[in-house]
Amino acid sequence: MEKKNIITRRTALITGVSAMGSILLGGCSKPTPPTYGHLLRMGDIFTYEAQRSLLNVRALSKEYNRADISSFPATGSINPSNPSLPGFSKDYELLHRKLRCKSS
Amino acid sequence: MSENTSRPVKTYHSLWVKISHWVGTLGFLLLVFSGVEIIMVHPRLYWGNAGNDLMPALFEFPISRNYHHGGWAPAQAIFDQPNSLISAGRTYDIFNQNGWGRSLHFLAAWIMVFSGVYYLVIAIFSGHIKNNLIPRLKELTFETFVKEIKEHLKSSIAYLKGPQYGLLQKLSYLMVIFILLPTIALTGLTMSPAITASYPFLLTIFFGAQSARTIHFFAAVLLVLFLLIHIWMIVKSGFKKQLLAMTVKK
Repeated sequence: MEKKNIITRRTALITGVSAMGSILLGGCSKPTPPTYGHLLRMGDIFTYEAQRSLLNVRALSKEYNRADISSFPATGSINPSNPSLPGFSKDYELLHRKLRCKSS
Repeated sequence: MSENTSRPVKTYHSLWVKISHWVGTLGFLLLVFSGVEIIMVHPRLYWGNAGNDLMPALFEFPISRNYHHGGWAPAQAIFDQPNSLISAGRTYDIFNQNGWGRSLHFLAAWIMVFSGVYYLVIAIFSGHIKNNLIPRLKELTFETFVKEIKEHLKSSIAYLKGPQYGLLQKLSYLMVIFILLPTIALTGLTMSPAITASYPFLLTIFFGAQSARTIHFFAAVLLVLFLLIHIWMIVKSGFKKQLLAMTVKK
């Protein structure tokens, strides 16, 4: 009789579960953010752990040239010292004026 | 249909096909739902590395209040030079629910990954792909193509039991499994700065993170189109029969 060389469902399941276990165990030493019993937060933690176990933790993000800078929207105000813009801050305007006096 | 008498003909779908089909369906529907929500937050697509509200878009979708909202403070130059890049603050309260949309998208993507890997491993090693999905050589003729397209345009099409698929069916399944799903998974990963830091080639093959987002969107459109045609064909070949074959029939 020739031995059947197929992967049965059982072996596939065992391999899959043990692979998942190794992903989850990899992050056990470090504390994870709280989930508050929220399903989406649990999914986020799974993503987080998978990234930290599968990716190179020393990888650096891509560098770009000065020419690659693009126009971009500001979060909040661009210049809080300008009273005509939304997000104006009186304290910041004072600080800004002081700094300008010092430099000139 | 070409009958191959040398191998036993299975009558209905295997249990692992049913499980991966329905778990994958759940994941896919959640992905479409959260994907539309994510597009609503920023209904613009770009090409290249960067893209934002102050840059020209490749496409814009009129699907949320963020479309052409126009609420900007006067733009200011970033550099002290003529034709400088600009920045501007928003004066308009945009629809900005990125948190749950992205979390749900990722959770649903994990569901798809698990059902997809479960399917692929068994499908490859059990011979399902070789025997049932890759067309036979004698099947791959122009005549079969024309015949099947004509059949599909009629009001009802033949009901094929279990994993005996027609030529167009085989080709569309292969396209979904080996072209569209890998493309959508890889372009999704390309949008993650953590992943492209480890695998920068992803940014090269998809022309940048924003191009990856655009390709991701169009792959999703093709998958939704597949889903609609899939359901249409199930209705045409007997909705109840097909649904029973994919669930309780053994």
